[in-house]
Amino acid sequence: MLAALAAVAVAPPVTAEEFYEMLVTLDVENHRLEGKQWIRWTNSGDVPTTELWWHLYLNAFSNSSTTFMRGLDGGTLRSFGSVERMAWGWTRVTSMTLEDGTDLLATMAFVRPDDGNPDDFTVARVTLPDAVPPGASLKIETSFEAQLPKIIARTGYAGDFHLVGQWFPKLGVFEGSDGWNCHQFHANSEFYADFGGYRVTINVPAQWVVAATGMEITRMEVPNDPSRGLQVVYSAERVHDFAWTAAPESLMAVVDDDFQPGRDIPLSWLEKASQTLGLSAAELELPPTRLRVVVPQSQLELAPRFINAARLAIAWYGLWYGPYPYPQLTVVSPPPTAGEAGGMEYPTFITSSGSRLLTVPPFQWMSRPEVVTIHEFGHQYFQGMLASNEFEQAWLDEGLNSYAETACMEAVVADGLAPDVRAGTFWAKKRIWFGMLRFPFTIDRPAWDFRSRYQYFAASYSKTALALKTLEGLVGEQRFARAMRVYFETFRFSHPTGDDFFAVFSEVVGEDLYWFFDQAIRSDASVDWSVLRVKHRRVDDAEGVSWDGDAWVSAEASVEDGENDGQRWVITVELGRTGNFIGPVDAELYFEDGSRERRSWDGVDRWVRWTIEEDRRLTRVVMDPDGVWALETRRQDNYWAAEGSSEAACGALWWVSEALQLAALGLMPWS
Amino acid sequence: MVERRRGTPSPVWGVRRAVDLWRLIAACWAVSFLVFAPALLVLRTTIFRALAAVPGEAGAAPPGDIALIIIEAGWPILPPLGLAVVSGIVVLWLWTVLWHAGVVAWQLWTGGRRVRLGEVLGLGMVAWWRYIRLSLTALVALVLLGIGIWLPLASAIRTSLDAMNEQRMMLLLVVGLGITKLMAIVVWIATMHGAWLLGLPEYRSAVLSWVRGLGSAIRTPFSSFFTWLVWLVPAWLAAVVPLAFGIRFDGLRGSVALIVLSLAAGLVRSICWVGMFNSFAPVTGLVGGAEDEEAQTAESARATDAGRPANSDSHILPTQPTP
Repeated sequence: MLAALAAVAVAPPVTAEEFYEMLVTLDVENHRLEGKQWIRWTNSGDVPTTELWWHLYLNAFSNSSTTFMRGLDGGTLRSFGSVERMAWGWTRVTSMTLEDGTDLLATMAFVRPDDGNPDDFTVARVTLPDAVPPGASLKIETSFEAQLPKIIARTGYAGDFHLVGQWFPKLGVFEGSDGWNCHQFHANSEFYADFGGYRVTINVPAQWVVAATGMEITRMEVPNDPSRGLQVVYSAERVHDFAWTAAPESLMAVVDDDFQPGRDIPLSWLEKASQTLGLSAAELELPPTRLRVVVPQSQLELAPRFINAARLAIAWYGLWYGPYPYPQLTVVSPPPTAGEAGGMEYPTFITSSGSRLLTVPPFQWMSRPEVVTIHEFGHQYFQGMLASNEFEQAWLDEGLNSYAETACMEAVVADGLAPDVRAGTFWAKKRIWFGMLRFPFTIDRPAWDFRSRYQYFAASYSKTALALKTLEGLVGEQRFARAMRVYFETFRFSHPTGDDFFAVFSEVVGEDLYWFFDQAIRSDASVDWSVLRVKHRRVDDAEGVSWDGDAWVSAEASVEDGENDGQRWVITVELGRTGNFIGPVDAELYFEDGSRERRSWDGVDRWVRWTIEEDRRLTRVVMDPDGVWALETRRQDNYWAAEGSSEAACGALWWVSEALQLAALGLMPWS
Repeated sequence: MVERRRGTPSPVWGVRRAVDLWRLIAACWAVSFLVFAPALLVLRTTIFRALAAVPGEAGAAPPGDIALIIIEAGWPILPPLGLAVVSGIVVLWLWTVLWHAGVVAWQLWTGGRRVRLGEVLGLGMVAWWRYIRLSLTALVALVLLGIGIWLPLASAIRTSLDAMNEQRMMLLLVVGLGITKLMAIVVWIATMHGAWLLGLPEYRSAVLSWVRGLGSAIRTPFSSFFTWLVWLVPAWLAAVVPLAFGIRFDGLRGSVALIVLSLAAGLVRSICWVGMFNSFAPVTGLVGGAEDEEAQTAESARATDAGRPANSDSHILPTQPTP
């Protein structure tokens, strides 16, 4: 493993380390923030810069014409709703100075690098009096005020519940000669920022719950100031964002627990990871982690499920990719009416999805809390530590994590570690969902440049996960798993790109895989195999003459001279590549005596013909019998059978028949 | 010859009438399967063919393949399939109304003498439109009651959610679902009472009959509910048992054994529906044994010859009902 890691010929990770010291007060009556920040920024690029670019993402919720709101097509992110119900949010920088007192605010101007939308105020630029050379640092002091919106896209308030994300002026990423990479806030993507340290002091009323990125380091009650009765300080290292939540204790409860590797790693998982990755148990050792779950008082019964899911996620991702390095993970389940806050990843701080309904049958048999918790935790890896540019290559976050989450959930449910109403495997569900889409599309596009949000989700989540599942099938589970681990270990705490990912995989797997990535990720090529024709001809059906080496003889006679008494068959099997995705595929030939033969085809040509002579007939031909090509959703013509088998069909029809009979049950008595 | 009870539902009476109406039971059984035959035929000609080459052994096809093939083959046939299903549901509804009307007429006009299925259905045809109106009345009542229950409940649930009070929301949901269920049962029972009243000459209005039926249901809550439950439980079990077997045992799906079980379950359901409906008949039928029955048959024949309805001496049917 280490040798493989050393052999990866990719650029070493480059990331800047910033430091944000912040003080913020929440006005719970008006849902307003008043903040100050002291930032130390270092130019990690290779050229000087005279500008600083800032994310002011709360302004995405300032009017209905921002780039973000246009991207939502008038709706809210998760629930049905419309902008008419919005309570707008915004942020305003009230002062910005350098350490020597130089005012930068006067030079501030809004910029729209992605779409030129004049109604968008999510990116601002200030001009520095002097260029900052590579390696040099700046200290900036900023004051700002912000109005939280009514909860939308994981930010804002619902009643007394506050989820405060994308709330402070945050620097973009300076990429040297490529300039500043600071995208506007789009509906489909959230993150691209440098790593840094955060030390944030939060003032809220007394008797309030606060949870945030990082760990709580001090807590102080201020008895004489009811509106700022509690001051909590959080600290986090090597993270690229900071989010927090605040709500009255009467609404939200805090449950503290932990992840103990000796107790919480299933032995079967450890053995499998060790065997597949070629690492010893000692090399797979994981550190303990503190768990903090913040749930509505009414959902306290769900807290053990969130804790269990978090433990499983820490164990699974830790074993397969590398340890979760932070001392704490915080999981928040938003209360009712704050559903928009659910299902979100911030560094060391995730929001899941719960409801009191999930405490009673049949809803309690659903694995939604586990799926969402595990998915959002997975973003600690694919976004939190592997901080790719989500705006430009969202699939590196959502797609890789969807693959990992699905694999994790398969393991969790297979071992009975979470409730689940089994209606097909998680991979099957992903294939089916993807199969509903009829229009080909490319994965590797900017997040805001898809035809629709639906297509963005399909490409960035499902199609990428299925592409990786396909790759896993093609290169083998072991090589795939090792490549994923090397990718994580090589690029954690940096900003890997798609090219980095491709390079690691080609290197670790030991073959050029660009043929696959170019088609699966960078094109809309579709996978479709088909059995075109299977034909049997009895050898003794031969007519005319045949050359036996000495003379022309009757073809029939030449057969009769053979060792078989006319029971031999010339079988022609024609396979086709109906899709435009080129790659190798297996086919399984089933013979009438029950035996099987596996053959491979490189899939380069549009079709291939195999002619074989056998003393037995073929009964069935199946292309891609193992389902390696998870990306293929048109599977009907992958199967050919001499005689129709009714088992699968009967099974399927049975479900329909029973459903109709249940309909009859409801109607028969109704006069 | 015919006496009228106080209108108390009786499962025993339902059993007796169900035995007499075995042909109707068989017809209900056949219809419940036949109405969906076009839909299954559409599926069979497409899905069955599409899946024919897929190995049937569990795990032989990669996960998701069968569902993907169903989607692939089923997508183009959704319109005809939808039409087949909807038409099946409509036919089933019309059939149910028809045999309900027929059974009422058969019971009230002939005193329940043994007749051919065609006669029962023929009698039903005469009153069919009135029973359609009764069915629609019940549907409207159900919708109105549903709206009446859920409008304030939805508002209260919304208020609870705004206050982030999930306990109250859950309580309201449970109460709402409970009341809705109870309401559906009451409407169902009221409709069965009303169906029998609608057969009486003094009840021409479907709405009035249904309202009176509701009154009957309220007057006899325990016997009505008990009777309904006695028939519902086996009918429900008959629907669930084959399904449970199929879910539990993959290999049984589509097998002859499960098909036979489903057919048997369908028969049980038909018996239950016919028995349940007859249990709500407000008459006890012919009094006496075989002699009485023979006498009744002879009387019916004489009455028919004389151009008046059978049992015209009954105090239930003083005059010939107007179709």
